Amino acid sequence: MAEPQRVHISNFADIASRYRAFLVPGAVEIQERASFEIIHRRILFDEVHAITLHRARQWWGVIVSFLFAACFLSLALALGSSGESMAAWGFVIVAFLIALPGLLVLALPAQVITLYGQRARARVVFHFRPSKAREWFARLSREIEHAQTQQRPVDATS
Amino acid sequence: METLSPTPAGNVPLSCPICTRPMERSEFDSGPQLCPCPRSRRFEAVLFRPPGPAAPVVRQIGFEGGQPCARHEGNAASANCERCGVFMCSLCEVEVDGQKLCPDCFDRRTAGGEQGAAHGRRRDWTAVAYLSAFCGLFFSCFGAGLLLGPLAIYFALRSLREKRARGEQGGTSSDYLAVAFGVLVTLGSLGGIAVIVIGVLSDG
Repeated sequence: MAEPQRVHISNFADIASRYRAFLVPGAVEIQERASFEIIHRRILFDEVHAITLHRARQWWGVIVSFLFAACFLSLALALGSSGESMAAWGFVIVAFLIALPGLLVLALPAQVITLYGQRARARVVFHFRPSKAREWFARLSREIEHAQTQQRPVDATS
Repeated sequence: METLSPTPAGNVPLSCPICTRPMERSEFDSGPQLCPCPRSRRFEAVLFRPPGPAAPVVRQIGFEGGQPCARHEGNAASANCERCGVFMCSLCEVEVDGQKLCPDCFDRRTAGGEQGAAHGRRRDWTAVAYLSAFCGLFFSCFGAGLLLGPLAIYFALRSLREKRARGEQGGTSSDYLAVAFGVLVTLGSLGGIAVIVIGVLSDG
């Protein structure tokens, strides 16, 4: 008998925390990192009611990136109007580099897998990897079906 | 990611993954479908029929010395439920207020309103390593890098050791980066101090 092994699925974040999803035999484990603590929760496969896949945009990332870019652009405008054209162009380049992640997020929405369990609901987000998300969606569906099929014969006889 | 606490009854209702509007199971279907909100965005779903709660089977101790989990017979038991005594693996183990419970006892306590969501907590040593390294970098002029750099390396290695002990595969690149950062801070502090000492000696 072996200790359950963890396979890394994805890393993602929201405005307050960072998350890591792992596949363990029989469950998906989500680790939330906030305030130098890791909180981990599990969705057991034999308790999953449904799994979904959809596209979503992380609007908080877009807003933060565009806000910072706007700050640098306004600085560039101020410098440009005062005659410092070299410095102004430097700030314009920095503003573009800061806005670039936001533009990428707008152009390429994230793929989100949602699992509905008995006790909790969990989401796993994939950025810029739609094929990977689809692979994991299919794999998790197979694993859940397999886990629930294994459990059913025990229930039928008990 | 959202991981939500269960309702007092212990069952999480189905809901649209996009607009989070509660949905009945009859509104859900396997395959492509539309979100019920006016924007009607697409999502894909697969529905399952989870089996009812199975009675855990207590097994005798085997000659190999390991005790299997009552719910997952392929996994070694790592603890006993402190409420009912059944053997459980690390998958089933739910820690609540310092007490280790099996999923069935957790459900019973939740249904009885004795507790909300339960989750395990542990220290994020990788984040502590990065914090030490950054503080060592910013306060390197005070020689703090000589203390905080090695400390960052220690915390990153501790995180790696714990991940290996838990059998985690992947997700360790941030730990190796933290080690590299700690090494840079340490070497940078040593170099800075060496430059100062050489400067003082050459002036003297």
